[in-house]
Amino acid sequence: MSVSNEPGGYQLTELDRIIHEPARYNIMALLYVVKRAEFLFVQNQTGLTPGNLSTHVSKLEGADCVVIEKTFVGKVPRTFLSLSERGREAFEDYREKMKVLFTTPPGAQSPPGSA
Amino acid sequence: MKQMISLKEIERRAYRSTFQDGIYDILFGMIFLILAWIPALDKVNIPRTYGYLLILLPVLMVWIGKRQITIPRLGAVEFGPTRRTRKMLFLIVVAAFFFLNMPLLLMMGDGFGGGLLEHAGIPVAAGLVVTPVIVVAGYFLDCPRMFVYAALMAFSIPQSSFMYDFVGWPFNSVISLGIPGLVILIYGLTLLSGFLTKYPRLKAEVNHVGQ
Repeated sequence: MSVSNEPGGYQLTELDRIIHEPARYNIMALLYVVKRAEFLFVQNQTGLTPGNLSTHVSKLEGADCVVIEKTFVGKVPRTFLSLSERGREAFEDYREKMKVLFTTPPGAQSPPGSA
Repeated sequence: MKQMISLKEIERRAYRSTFQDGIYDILFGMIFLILAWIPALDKVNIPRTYGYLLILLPVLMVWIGKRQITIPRLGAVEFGPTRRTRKMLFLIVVAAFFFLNMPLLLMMGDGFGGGLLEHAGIPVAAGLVVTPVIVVAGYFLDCPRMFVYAALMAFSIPQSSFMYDFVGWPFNSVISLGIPGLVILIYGLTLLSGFLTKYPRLKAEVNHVGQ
């Protein structure tokens, strides 16, 4: 993230903007705390419709944040989702930026802990 | 955001959702009921061993239930190393506990030792031996309701002794373990009913990811 010295001058990267969307943040937060989860499990936990979840997951996959694994258990197709290494780093980085953003007083020139 | 979302809370909610199906509650309810009726086998000259073996039946039902009911409706999930380690520790502790205490458990169940054990052997064995296992399960598996079940089982010891003066043996065991078992079983069935309603089984996987 590039940080300007203007008050409130935080600029999110394109990747941050992808994670910033509430539904996608929820998806990434859930995948961050598990090793991998089936599409149906993510759908139930996030409360998204299948189509909505598919759209967001596709966007995250396009940003190389999520890995999609299609497999078969017997004859039943299963889709598993997990965060990629890049996705984990991006998520951690995004959360760190948000912490700085929320802990920096308005108008501060140099946010604490920022580069 | 009003406040940063707690990742720990997300993980805990996801983990606890995997046993909102009531299957483990049904397991404990059935174990309570089987233990309650084992002393009554003496009245019909059936060896108690068959009763103890019957406990394998609800364990098998859990294994089948999770694969046929829970996972097709809730979806599969693999948790991180911390949860897997806790689960492995739980299994090791339970296995060691039963292995070391099984002879004692069986002797107490048969009334060896006399006194309270003679007419309340099963509840005493269950209360002293099985209760710690349930407490350990509640801790390692992060399932608070198991502490309540452990308390119910522990309470069966004084309850069975108290009931002996009123209903005699073996009905003191039947009542002291049977009633809580029935309550837990009904609670588990209620949870299962709600789970089946909340998560209907999908005929086919519905997603368009990767297409």
